[in-house]
Order: sequence, then C-alpha cells, then structure tokens
Amino acid sequence: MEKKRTAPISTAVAILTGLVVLAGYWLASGQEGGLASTVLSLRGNLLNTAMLLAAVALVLGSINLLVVHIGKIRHGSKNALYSFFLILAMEFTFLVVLIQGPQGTLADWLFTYIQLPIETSLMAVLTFSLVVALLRLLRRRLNLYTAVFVFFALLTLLGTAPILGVEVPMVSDFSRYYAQVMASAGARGILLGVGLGSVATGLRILLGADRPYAE
Amino acid sequence: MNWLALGVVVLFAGLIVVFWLLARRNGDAKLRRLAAYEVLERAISYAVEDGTRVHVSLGRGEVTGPNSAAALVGLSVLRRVGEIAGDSDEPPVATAGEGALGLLSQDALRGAYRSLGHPYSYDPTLGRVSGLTPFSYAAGAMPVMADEKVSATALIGSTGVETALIASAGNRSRSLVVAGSDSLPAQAILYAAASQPLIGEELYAGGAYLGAGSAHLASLHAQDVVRWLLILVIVGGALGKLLGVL
Amino acid sequence: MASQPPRNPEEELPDWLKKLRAEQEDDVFGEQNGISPFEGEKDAPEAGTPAEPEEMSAPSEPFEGADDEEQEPPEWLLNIRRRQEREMARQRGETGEPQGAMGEGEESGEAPLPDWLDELRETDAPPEGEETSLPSKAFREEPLPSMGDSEDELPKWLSGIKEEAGDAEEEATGAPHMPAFTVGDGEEELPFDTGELPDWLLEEKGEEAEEIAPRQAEGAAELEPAELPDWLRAMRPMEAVTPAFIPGEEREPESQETVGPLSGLHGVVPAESEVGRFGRPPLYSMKLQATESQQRHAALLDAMLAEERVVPQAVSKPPSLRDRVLHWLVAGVLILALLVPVLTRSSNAPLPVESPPMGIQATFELIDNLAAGSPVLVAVEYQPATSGELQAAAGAVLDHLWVKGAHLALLSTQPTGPALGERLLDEVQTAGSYTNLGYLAGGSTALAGFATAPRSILSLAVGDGSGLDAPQLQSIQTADDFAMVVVLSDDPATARDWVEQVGTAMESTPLVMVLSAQAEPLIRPYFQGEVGLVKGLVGGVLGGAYYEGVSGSRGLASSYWDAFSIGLSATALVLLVGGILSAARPEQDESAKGKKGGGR
Repeated sequence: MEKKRTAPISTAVAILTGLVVLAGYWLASGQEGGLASTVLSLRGNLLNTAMLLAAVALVLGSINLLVVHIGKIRHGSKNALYSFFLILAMEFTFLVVLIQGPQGTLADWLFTYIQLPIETSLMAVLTFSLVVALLRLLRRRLNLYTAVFVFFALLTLLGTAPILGVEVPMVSDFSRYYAQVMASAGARGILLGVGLGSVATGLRILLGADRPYAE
Repeated sequence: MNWLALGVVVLFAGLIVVFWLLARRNGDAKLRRLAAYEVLERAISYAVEDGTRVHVSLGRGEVTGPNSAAALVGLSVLRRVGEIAGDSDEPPVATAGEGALGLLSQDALRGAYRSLGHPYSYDPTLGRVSGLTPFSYAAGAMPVMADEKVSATALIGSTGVETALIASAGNRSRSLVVAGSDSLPAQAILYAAASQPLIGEELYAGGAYLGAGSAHLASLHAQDVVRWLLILVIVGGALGKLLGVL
Repeated sequence: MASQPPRNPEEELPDWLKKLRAEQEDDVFGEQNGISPFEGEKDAPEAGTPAEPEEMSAPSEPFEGADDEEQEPPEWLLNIRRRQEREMARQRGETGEPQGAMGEGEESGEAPLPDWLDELRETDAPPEGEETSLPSKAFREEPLPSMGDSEDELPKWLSGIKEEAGDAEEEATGAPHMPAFTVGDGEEELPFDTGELPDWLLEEKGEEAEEIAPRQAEGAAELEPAELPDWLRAMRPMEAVTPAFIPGEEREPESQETVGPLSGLHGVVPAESEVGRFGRPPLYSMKLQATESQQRHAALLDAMLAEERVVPQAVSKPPSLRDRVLHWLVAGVLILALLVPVLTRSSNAPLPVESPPMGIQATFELIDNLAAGSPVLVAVEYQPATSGELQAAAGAVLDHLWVKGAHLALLSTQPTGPALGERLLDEVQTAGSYTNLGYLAGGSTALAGFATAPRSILSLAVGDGSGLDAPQLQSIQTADDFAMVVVLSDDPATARDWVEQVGTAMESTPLVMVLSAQAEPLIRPYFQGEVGLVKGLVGGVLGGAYYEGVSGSRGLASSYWDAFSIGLSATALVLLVGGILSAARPEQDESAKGKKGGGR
C-alpha cells in the first residue's frame, strides 16, 4: 500500500493510542469494572508493546550503525579504517556476549578495561572542553549575561570544595544558598516552560496536526 | 481523578484548535525574533550554495518516554531542513542516539525527498544511529562534522552533558552550532559552547520558526496563553500564602 | 486557359481592321462560296467561347492610308495571304472539308496594309533555311487561311497571335481547341527564345503535344481530354525532394489511368490497383542533422553544465594556533593539579564532617533502621562516563546497606546498567548478597509497569535469569514490597522518572536518591517539598564525603578529596585568569562581521 493511502490510518492509530494511554492516567486510581477496566487493560497492553518496540529499536539501531560503517568502508570514505575497527569490535563483543552472556568473564573484562576507560576519558575531555568554551564565551560574547554566568560558575566551583585545601565558610554557604534557591527557582521556571512545550508537542500529535511518523 | 490536570489538558487542546483555525483563516502571525533560527536558516542557504552539508543531531531521547517531545521537535526541524537542502550537492545528514529515533530520522528525510519530487535520490545512510549510549552517541556524531563537509549543525533534541563534546567539535571545525535541549545541565553547557543556544522552550518553537506549518504556530500561541495563566496562578498562590488566605 | 464570357468579336475590332476585313471579304472571299472568314464571328458567340483577341480581329476600318486606292498592300502581306490560300487548298484536297475560317486569296485585290505591319514583317521574318523547332502537333488540323507566301511570312509573334485567334474561332464554332502558345518540333518558332526554356518544359510540351494529337484524332464525339495548362504545369512540386526521385535517373513512365472519369490521364493517383499495393516505406535517417553552428553551441552548453556538476571540495580549516595553545595550556594545568595529589596520596584538604546536609542525615537514618535481610532495590541509572563520581558518592551508601545485612536487587533501564552495578559492588568494601535483575527496556514506560507488576515486567528483563525468585525476594509483588528503593543516577530526567512513576506508586517504601552534582539541585525540591516523595538525598563527591564522615567509613570520596579540592580550585583559577585576559582582548562578534557563525 502506498504511503499516502496509509497516512489517515497511521494518524488514526496514533490518535487512538494516545487517547487510550492518556485516559488510563485518570482511570488508574482504583476504578474498576466496565469501560474503565477495559481502558486500563488496553493501556497496559499498549505500554508492554511499546517496551518491546523500544527493545527492537535498539537492535535496529545497532544494525543501522553496522550498515553505515560498512558503507563507509565500501566507498573508501575518510577514516574508513576507524569504521573497520568499529565493526570488528562490535562483532567480537556480540559473539562474546552471545556465548558467555552479559555477566561472562570476557564480557566483563571488555566492559571494565575498554568501554569504561573510553567513556570516562570522554568525560574528562568534556571537562577541558567546558573550560575552553567558557573562555571562548568571554572572548566572543562579552556582555552582562556572560559576566553573570561566569561569576556564578566560579562561585559554584569555589563553594563546592575547600579552596586549595582551605575551607572558606562564607563562600560555601553562599554557593549553597544560590544553588538551592536562585538557581533552583530559575531551573523550575525553565522546566515549566519545557513542560508546556512537551505538552503542546504531544497534543499536536493527539490532534493529528503534527505527524512526524508519516511522509 | 485529577480534574485539574484534565482541565489543563482540555484547555490547552482547545486553545491549539482555536489558534489553528484562526491561523488558517487570517494567515500566520508575526513571531518575536529568535536569532538562533534566523542564523540557522541563513546557514542552510549558505550550505546549499557552497556545496557543504547541514548536520541535524536529534539527541538520545526515547520516543516512548517524556523526552520524546524534544525528539519530535528535532524531527520536524530535520524534515524542514531536508525540504530546503535535500536537492543540494551535499544533502543533510541526521544522527541519533536511539534506535527508534534513527529510524524516524530516515523516515523524515525520505518524506522530504518525496515532497521535493525525487524520492529515488534518497540515501538511507543519511539518517543514522551514531551510538547507543550518550557518550558513544557523541563520539559517533563528532567525526560527522569533521569528515563530511558540515558547515552547520543543528543540535535539536534531548541531550545530556555529552552535548558539549558535539558542540566543541563543531567549533573546532569552524561550523555553526545551533543547539537546544530539554535538559537543564545541557542548556547550561550549550550556553557556553554553542554559537547560538536555545534556552528553555525556545527549543519547542523550532517548527514554527522554520515554517513547519500553522499547527506549530498555533501551539506556540497556546503555550503563551497557558504560561500567563500559570504565572497568574503562581503569583496569586504565593500572595495568598503570604497573606494567609491559602 | 481561363474561359471568358463570350463577346461579339466584331464589335471589338478596331475600325481599321474592320475595314480591312470588309475589303478582304469583297476581294478575297468573293471567289469562294460565299463563306466569309468572319462568318463565325458574325454569329452570336457561343457560351464559353473565348474572346477573340483584338489583334486578330479584322480591322473595322482600314489602316491609315488604306483608303487610298493608290496604295497597294505590302508585299509581305500578300505573301502571307498566298501562303494561307495554298494551305487551305492543300487541306481541302486532303480532307474534302471546307477549312479555315479566314478567307484567302489575297492575290487579287489586296487591301492596303498599314506601315507597322510592314515593319514587323521585315524585322521578324525568319531567316531562310532556318528550321523551327515547333512540334508538328502544334499546328492545327485545319489549315489556317493563307495570308501570304512562305517567303514573306508573318513574324513569329504574330503567327502565334493568329493561331490564338484561330483557336478562338474554333471554340466559337466548336472546333477542337488549340493552345495559343505551343512549342513543337520543327515547324514554327516561338516568339521568344526557346533556348531559355527548361528542357522539361520542352519535353513536356512535346509529350503533351504528342498526346493531344492522338486524342484529338479520336474525334470530337469523345470528351475533351484534360490538359494541364502551362502555368499549372510550372507549379508542379519538385519531385527531386522525394526519395523516389533521384536526379539523373530516368523516371518510371507514369501509368495511364484506364478506368473511371480520369481515364487517359497520366500521373494521377491510381484508384484501384494501387490500394492493395504496399511498398517498402521510405527510410529516414534517425541521426540528428545539426549544423556546425548548432554543434558548437551544444558543446558550449555541455561545458557550462559540466562545470556545475563539479562539486567544489570544501577545505576544512584546522583550529587556529591560539585555540590549540589554549587547549594544551588548560589541559596541562588541570592534569597537573589532579595528578600530583593522586600520585602523592596527599590528604591535606579537610574532609567535610560538620553540619552535613539534611538529605545525607535522612539517608543515614533510613538505612540505619533497616532490618537484616531486607530487600533493597538498587537502580543503577548512570552512564559509564560518570561512574567515577557515582562510585565515590554511592560507595559509602552501599557499604552501609551491606553492613545492615540488606539483600540488594540491582535493576537498570540503561543497557550498561547491569555491568556498572556489578563493577560498583566490586568496589564496596563490605561483602553482601545481591541479585542482578538485569536490564529493563522501555525507560519510564517500563518503570510505570514495574511499579505495579514487577514480576510480569521482569520477565522481559535481560538478567541472570533468577529474577525475583531469590529467597529474599519471594515476597515482592509490587514495588512497595521492597524495604527501600535507592536510585543511583547522573541524569535528572531519569531520576524524575523514578520519582514520578515509582515513587508515586509507593506508600510506605522510602525512595532514596544518590545523584551526581549536576542532578542534585533539580531533584532537591522533591526532597524538600511538603509531599516529600524523596526521603533521602546524597549528591556528588561532596555528598559521598559527607556520608563517609557520618558513617565513619573511608571510601573513594575521601581518597579523591584532595585531588577534587585542588582540581576545582585550579579550574576556578584558570577561569579567572583566562577570563580577565579574554575580556581584555575580546573577539569581534562574528555575526556583526556578516560571516556565518563559526568563522567560515
């Protein structure tokens, strides 16, 4: 069937599914019998299906990763050698876990001595990148907001731990107050806005006004 | 039964419908200037002209979770970028940190090519999963900017602190980075690392500013109305608590 | 020839010609049987008969000076008359029919002719002995009335005009029509130079004349054969452009139509015999016939398009020297600041022990009140990248749990969670029992199901297979059946999912959060709020150090504390110094330069 012909069906399925799960939120508090139990049962099944789909999507994501890097090797793209090593590591790890299981000795060794150091190193690089980014920010965009941003970043750094081994109580107290009151309040406001945006995005899909799943 | 939540949802939905109908009759309303989207649109045009690519990174938000809203906004932006730059020499490329999101990015690009009238030019590898954990996703997205002639990166989705790596890679390769996330730590990082950060709900306005449709504009207006209602409720509640009424 | 309405030729004749004729009638035609050369003209002209040319009409009045009896007609005119008489006599002798419409016998009593005729005679008289190329069929079957001897013939153009007049008479009388201008072989000359005529015209005329003669010989009873006039023949399409025609080759003789109304005609489209005949269709070349100029233009356009197809290679600019120096400088300072305390195992920085935060106090009290063997769910929800911080923050908490004899059940909604949990427990000093429930796909959706029906949800988990079958976990039917839920997370969103999906479903089970420093401020409201969904909160390395101080243990947080403290201070110093230097030499905003963002 062509995509255009299935678009109304996809939209109808998306809307109905969303409405059932949303209705289950209000019906979950102890209501029994009739329509409520049917809706709750349906909601449970839909959520279980979604969990399965998420797991399947994980597998499909792995396959997509493989296909992209195989394509890079075939076309001789830049840094195709790294793609080769990626595929090699992926296949080797897959075989190891398939044979020994996720708690196997070799799988644990691979995770502990290869994946863990790589990711923690990336986190360390992130630290340097953040410091450099802050310095570039002062150079590129020097205004009041940037100055306030840098000031409170310094305050947080100095208030978290003793300064060169010396405890400065005022700094740590002010840092704690600022973090728990001012920053928290600002964060709350931003999160409210993010929440409104999320609700609006979800409602657009429930109303059929936005169809990111259709072509 | 949480009647308040139900009321808010019904009010919000009603406002979206009303503003949508008004927009279709009276035309699109004027929006306040958001430099990030203006710069992004300009960068897309430059990329088409000088034979470079636009990279859209969708983050790692699960489609089945609450982070899916940011991911869906990223998909709308990707679709619009695909419709603008899809028939250029270097079509846009999308990276995602989640399997379902990777598949949806392929769908969005395929739809963009179909709307341009040449569906056979679509390459499935343009939408890809770059990693399945946050830092592996960032590690997979960084080489895209260095190796694939990317001149502009739109980082629109649910990302964490790893977004700093992607943004700094963009800065190192001298490309524009327009970034927004629903995560507060990520927003703080992007304020420093990105060329044009999107703070708070500016992320969710992406579809409206890039011309994804009147429904996006309508939901933006509905958000404004509900936001003011919330402000009134918060201020009123705080005053009531202060005065001992509540 | 176009037919003209019948006119009375007698009335149109000029006066001088009329006179001339009248005199001729009296003198020349008096000897005949009363037949007047203009007899046909005296009758009313029949319909369709062409008008007699004026020039051939007998003059209504004699020429100038013709009345003068003293002037005699010129010799040449007399010769013409004699010749005509001879012709008529010869024809009469052959056919026995009276011939001619024009009278004869100009020998006796010639009318005086005008001078202009005389002059014409002198100039146009053909040289003796010259043969003409007129076809025989150009001549009339009936001899023309003699108008003189051959010695003094009429000029060519006049003879042609006379013949035309004779044709008109014939038409008036019903006699066969002869063309005014005919080209024949041998006997007459045209009034113009025949060398200028194209051969095909001469040939056609010859063929036409030959064809006309037999047709005419069939008699007047049959229908007049169709004849293409000269002007129509000249308009015939050139057969040279058709493939069937090859110049230089003889054309196939045209078939003569034998049936139907077009019988006797040549070159007509065959009506019946050709219908069923299919010939090979002509072959046309498929090659595009392009001129040189067109080919040049096409080559130019192709070259222009080829330039468009070439994609310019984008030059990737390496980072500037200043950025690279900055990177190395910052990295060097921070690595030095962190490496020296670790290598020297220094412990100069005072540990935080006084006034621990409320969240840490609450966590300690909750764990301290646990009974031995209590099932505690530990959710490992952080990434490998932040394992260093979370291990330092959660080490003392897990150690305290095992000191109290709790049975730990590890669960994660992250793919790397189970492995991280195993590694975490390896670092804990105290030994204890635990069950690894594995990885649960689905994120917050899975958590919502786990809160109410963990056994059915855990059947989908990827773990060691035991699930909730361990003896210490037999009583677990809902999340509320656990003695405590401890969530280890570096992401505020994940922590919030646990609070909203599982925390709201639990009434008596406390929810404790061990978070990274970046997530702790966002979850604090859940701890500090009136509802208090989160009962205990430990944040970052600082929280871990506080907890170690409260619990009296010494773990990773304590061993990191010096490096942590000096590292933070060094970072703050770099930012301060670098910020002052950067602020002193700001970079111009790239958007103000009109460049794209990023400096391209």
